[in-house]
Amino acid sequence: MSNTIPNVIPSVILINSLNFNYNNQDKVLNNLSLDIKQGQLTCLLGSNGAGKTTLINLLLGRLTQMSGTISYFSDQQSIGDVRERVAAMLQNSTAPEKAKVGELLTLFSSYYHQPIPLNQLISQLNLSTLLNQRFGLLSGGQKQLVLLALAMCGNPDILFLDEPSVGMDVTARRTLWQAISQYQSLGKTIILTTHYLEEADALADRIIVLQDGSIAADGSPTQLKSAFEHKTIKAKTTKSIHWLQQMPAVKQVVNSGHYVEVFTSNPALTLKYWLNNDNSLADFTVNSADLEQAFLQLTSTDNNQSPMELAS
Amino acid sequence: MSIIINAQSFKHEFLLDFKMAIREPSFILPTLLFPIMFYVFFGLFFSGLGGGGQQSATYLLVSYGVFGVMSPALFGFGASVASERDKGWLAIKQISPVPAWQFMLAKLVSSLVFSTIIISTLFMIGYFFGDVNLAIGQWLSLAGLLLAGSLPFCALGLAIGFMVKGNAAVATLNLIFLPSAFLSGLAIPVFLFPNWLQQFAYLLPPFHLSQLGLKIIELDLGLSLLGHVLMLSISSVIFIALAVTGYQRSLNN
Repeated sequence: MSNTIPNVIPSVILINSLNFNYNNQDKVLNNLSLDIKQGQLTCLLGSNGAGKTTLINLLLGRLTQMSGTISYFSDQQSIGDVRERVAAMLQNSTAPEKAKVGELLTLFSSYYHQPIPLNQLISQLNLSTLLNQRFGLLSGGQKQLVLLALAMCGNPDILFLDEPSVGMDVTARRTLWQAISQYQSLGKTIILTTHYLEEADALADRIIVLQDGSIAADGSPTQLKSAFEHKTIKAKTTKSIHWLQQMPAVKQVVNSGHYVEVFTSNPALTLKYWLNNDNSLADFTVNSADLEQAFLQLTSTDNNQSPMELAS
Repeated sequence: MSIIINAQSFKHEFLLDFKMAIREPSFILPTLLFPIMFYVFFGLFFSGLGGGGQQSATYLLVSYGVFGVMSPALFGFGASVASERDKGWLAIKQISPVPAWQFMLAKLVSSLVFSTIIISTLFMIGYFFGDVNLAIGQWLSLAGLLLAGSLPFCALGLAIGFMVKGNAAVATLNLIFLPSAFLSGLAIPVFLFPNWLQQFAYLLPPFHLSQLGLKIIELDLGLSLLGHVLMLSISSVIFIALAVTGYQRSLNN
């Protein structure tokens, strides 16, 4: 049953072999291909410089790729054709300080043919007390919510949110998360970048980890976490790598100086076998990885791990 | 591609731009007060003392009229575009369905409204307190000329706004505005300049605009009408080209 679902859901963005670099420097995006399905909330994770914002700017037509294609919706339109249906909350972009919140909302609403009724948007994002205030006098979190309202007011089918929760306090973040989930429940596609793993974990259907302009991992939060619920046993031994690999539940064995690192899906089982069958085993530690560590491990530059496929 | 989305949307665009300008004291005070203050001071009091009286008040009405329309054109466009670009507000609009024409046209209209306020105030001061006595046709053509003549400065403001960053844009505009106004003979008539400085004035758009204005009241230097129009047109084309280049560059950052 689960096999048929991906075929039914149409793609809303198709990215094919995208390459991009700034001024002939190193590649920021390296042959990146991606298929974003309708109604999915995709979270782009990655360290600074991984290419998240560049990818969003390419998708929005604010940058032009060196090669590769981006097409929107089933009829393969370019971004210029679909401005009414695609909106974004950009990083480091803000509204003029002297404008009042209500004026900004009215103006942006007038840009669209079928906007979300303003009253609805205002109550959803808790903006009703701010309408007569100047944008420049709002708190960081309030500003972000107003910018989110400007992005959402046209009722877009695809919404990009580039680091939306920066500068938000707990209350504002809760409002943001609720609004995002509620918006997704209308069948909208959302692409979110964030530094907060908690946010990705709470909201995303799919997490894509970008590293040096390529996809380092792609899967659901559960898949990504379970991939890293593997424990790492680090120890000294005289046994060969080949021998270590045949122990129960072992996924991978790596040499690490005087130590070996054994990745296992069942540390108790592996350790029991190892202790019973290897007298040279000494000085061992067992470590676990949560999503955050998984993320750091995937994106740390001194780690030459091969890309992970987490397809279902 | 249409120029505006619809009349309602354009109205919101213009009103917001205009209200934001009014809420910005560092724009509104110098823009509205300086030309009026200078005109009252030099055009009325000094002219009265010097005995030049009515003729001087009439001559300086044109000078400060040009000065008056330059400021909202340069600063209304330039400084606001530069700051909106820096803040990323321009980027937010660029990814929305609004055509760039709509918000540029809104800024143009709001600049013309400020120019109209300045011109009418100057005219009233000149008429009631400076004994400036012109035929109705002269008043109207002078007002029309000044409004149309603000367009090249709007284009220059726009070009600076797209090319120079935030605060540096205001400094750059001041460096262009005050010296070019002075060297074009808006404060001291050009015929009082040494010869080489007069030649330099021929290169400056405010000089040609003020000469066209002085032609209407028959106080100009007597240079060719076509020459003035040509110089203003050439500078407009250059400024517009710079503004378009700047805009296209702004799409990518």
